[in-house]
Amino acid sequence: MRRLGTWHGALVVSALHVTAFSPAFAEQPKPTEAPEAPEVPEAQGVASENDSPDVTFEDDSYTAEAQITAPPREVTRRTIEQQDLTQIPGTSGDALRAIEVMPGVGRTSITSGDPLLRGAAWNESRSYIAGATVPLLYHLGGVKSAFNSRLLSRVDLYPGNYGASFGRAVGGVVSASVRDPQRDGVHAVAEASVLDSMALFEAPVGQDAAIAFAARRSNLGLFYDAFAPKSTFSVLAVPSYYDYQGLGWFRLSSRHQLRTLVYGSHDAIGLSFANPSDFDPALRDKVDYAIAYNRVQLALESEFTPHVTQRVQVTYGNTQWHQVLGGARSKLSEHDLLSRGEWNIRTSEGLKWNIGYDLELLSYSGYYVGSRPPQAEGEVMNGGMSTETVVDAGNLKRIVAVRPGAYVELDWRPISRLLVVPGVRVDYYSDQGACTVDPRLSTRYELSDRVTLKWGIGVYSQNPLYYELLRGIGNPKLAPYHAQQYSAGLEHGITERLSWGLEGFYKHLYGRVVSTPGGQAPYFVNDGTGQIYGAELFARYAGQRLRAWLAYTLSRSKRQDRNDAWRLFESDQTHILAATANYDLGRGWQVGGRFRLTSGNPYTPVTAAVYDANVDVYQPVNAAPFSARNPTFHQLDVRVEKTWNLAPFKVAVFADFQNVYNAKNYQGFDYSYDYKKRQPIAGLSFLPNLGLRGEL
Amino acid sequence: MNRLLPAGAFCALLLQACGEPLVAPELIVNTRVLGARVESATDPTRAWPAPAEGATVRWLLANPDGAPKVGWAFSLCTAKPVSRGLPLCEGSPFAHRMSEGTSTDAPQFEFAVPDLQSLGGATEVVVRAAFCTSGTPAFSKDGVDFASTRCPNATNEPLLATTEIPLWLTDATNHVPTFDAVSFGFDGAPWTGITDAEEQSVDCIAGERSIPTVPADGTTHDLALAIPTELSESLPSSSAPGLDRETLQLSHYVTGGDLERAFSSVSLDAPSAKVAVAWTAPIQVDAGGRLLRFYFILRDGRGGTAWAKRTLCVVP
Repeated sequence: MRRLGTWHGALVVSALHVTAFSPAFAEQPKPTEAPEAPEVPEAQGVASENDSPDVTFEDDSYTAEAQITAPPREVTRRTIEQQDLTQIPGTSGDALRAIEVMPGVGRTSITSGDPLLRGAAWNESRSYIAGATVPLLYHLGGVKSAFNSRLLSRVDLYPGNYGASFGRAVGGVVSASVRDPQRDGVHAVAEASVLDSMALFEAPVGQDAAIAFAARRSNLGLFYDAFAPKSTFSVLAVPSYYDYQGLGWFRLSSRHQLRTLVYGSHDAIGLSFANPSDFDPALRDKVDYAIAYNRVQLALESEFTPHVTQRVQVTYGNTQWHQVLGGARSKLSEHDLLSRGEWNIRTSEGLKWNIGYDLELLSYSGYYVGSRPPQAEGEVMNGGMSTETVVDAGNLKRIVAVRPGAYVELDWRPISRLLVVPGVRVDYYSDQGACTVDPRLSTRYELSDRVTLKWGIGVYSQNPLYYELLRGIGNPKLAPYHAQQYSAGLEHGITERLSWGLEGFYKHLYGRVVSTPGGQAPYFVNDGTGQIYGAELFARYAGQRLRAWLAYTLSRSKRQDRNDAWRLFESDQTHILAATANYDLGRGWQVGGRFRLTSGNPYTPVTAAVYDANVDVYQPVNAAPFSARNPTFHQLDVRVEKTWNLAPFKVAVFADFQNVYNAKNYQGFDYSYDYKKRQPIAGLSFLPNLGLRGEL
Repeated sequence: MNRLLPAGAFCALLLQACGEPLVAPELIVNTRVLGARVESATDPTRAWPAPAEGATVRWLLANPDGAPKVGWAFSLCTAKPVSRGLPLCEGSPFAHRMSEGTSTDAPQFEFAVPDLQSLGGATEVVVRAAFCTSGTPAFSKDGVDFASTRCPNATNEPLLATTEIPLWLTDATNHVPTFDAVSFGFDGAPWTGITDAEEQSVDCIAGERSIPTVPADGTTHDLALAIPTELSESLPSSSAPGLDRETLQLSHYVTGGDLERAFSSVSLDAPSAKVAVAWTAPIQVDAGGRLLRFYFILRDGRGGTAWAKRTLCVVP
């Protein structure tokens, strides 16, 4: 009989997942015949403050390790666990797209994967992988996330009122945690699907180290020739992507663990148009786009005493990006140094200090010749590129931005059922010479063992986008902008498996960066405001065979640019409903379905058009911005997977069908050259992604 | 790093570029404006007039039967700079003119550019135009207003157009491109133009010799243009490579048949550029045959515009 570890009082209500394995099995030579897989004891449940994870096994030869999810300090943290990350239907097994089943997450367009959280724009929420922001979250604008989902342990979604450890975003946060390489033996996965192929290998290196490598490459090139309209353009580079990851885990001592992470990604597309577009002659000649980045990270986790822990990480990355689009050309090289550190100090049973820093050091160089960039959100772009003024921002000499941030947050439990988390975050932005101080407070009160009330209030700040600050196309004097966020709600665990929650939220944005009238100098100003309010309902069932989520969001997001009339947020979605279920049929069969129904996005109607003799195209005359709405979006996705357990191997075939009943889901209009006729543009049609996977 | 042009937007542009247009823009089926050419008074080859200098804007309009009969109204104002969308006026117009009834004469607007002081720092002026087939467009003291300008016949929607004219304020200037040195070919043979007067006397059935004649059988023919390098002027130095010369935009329109596309892009890195466009003859015409007009408009992207017309006969 063996007892697992010591349970510290810091944990209040947390998920507990315990896996045990036999070292003896791990050290066995590879069998020539597949043996019966050993029965591995497993325990899972909910632990509370006074619990010890009193998990016992009858066989002394097992060691065990507990992975303990810290209880939420924030008002809202929604987590997708590892077992669900690659199983959400309609996501092609992509973990980061899996957040779409959560409330507060808006539907992104078919060409963008940036999360839209609680009515915030694409640039107002931040996504982290292993605690560091990444230059590119999705391949080819949303096809698949650029980090292998099988190397993630969990994805946490903070749609609002997030804690002081995160910053520089007035919206929300998506944080993907990278798991450690498996240490119970050699594992390998190879997978091929219509979209891409990938391989993953992981193995222990002695008792105190383990490594993992993964690589993935798109398969689009194999099918591209069959679908590309060759009369329209010739292909210089097939749309393609690849990414790679390398993980290392090293136990330096019983109290110190070192993790290394190397990863990168490359996307490219290159076309040579035989002739300019009939709609927009500026779309001509060579069209070339590529972005590549590489990152290396070191993270040290230490437990100095049971009451003092530390996690420090440093990430270096470089990014190369270039774009040619007719006469528009730009190239950018970026070097990033990112570092975070947090110290957790428990000074008494009811009080823990979380003190940390969050440093970004960014360096850019390159050139930009192209259309004057629009404001990040809400600019009406009905006309073609031909009607846009081309600007030459000149050679961008090396521009360095140093953004150090520091925070203090308390976990204060004045009484056992009440957790109060006051915090403050201070950020400095060297490129703007500005400093922001963001106080935040969240509170959770356990009304009973199963019901928790929660509320939060906080100030959130965000720096402008880098190009909004560039001399020549932007305004170097821009200041950070802010949001006040308020939320309140309750969580109710009806049973251990069935829970639900309800939350209301309100956000006030101020000092938003908006373009000047006509897009003239200084091009961007801090003269926008915004209001976002709504409610979210979430229910979850986590059974042995059935796992299901129901999420509904009712919200309104609106903006005011300068002194213009209030308008809707460009991706305002009044209703967002997502119902998802996965069921284990047994005998290796797993089926899942996801149904989504959301309000159509707003758009700006065209009321007339004027011929522009300079460029030989018609320019639309627009109605009030975002004053009409596309039809309601609805889509059913289905996933089926069959796994054969051929120990020590597993073989699986899977099929992920998006939009199984082929809903049209119109997302805008295609206009005639003079804007007198239009036809709706359908969204993504029925899309099957079939694949085969082998695992060791 | 946040993106300047999101990858998704990039893909959306490509989707837009690859789609079939709802209406073929290259086919003239009703009265249309096809271009505006600016000439400075003291040097008609210069596209950028100087402050206080006279200038003329000549308009090219067409319909399936040739030059349309229209009434027109023009106004001139200083440009309020905008980075995208319609050129806007800063203040009231400096000049305006209107036609007396309708005419098939090519509309043109002669004006004097305001002097430097009156320009108030503006670097461009804007001409707004309205054309009506039913008479002279209604005109207000504020000039041509796109929202309120109406034709005498309420059922006749005005054709609204605008052109932005850069002014000659520094040493750098821009010249109007010309078709003088451009050679045209039709199915491999030289293709010369004829005057409007000659056009009136063309009899396709009688065996016209001066222009090509093709049967109405749906056959595809090759149109070709050879454009010399001299047409492309050097550009001020750019931060990006490959942008040191003008890239010319060639628009082509036809009054019948099926033209392959509306635009060609002409990069003049080599001594001359060849532009080839396929045209498919109609499969049916009246017993008297039909005279078809092809319009070619060359733009240098900086306010310089030129055009040429070619004709051919299609017979049953």
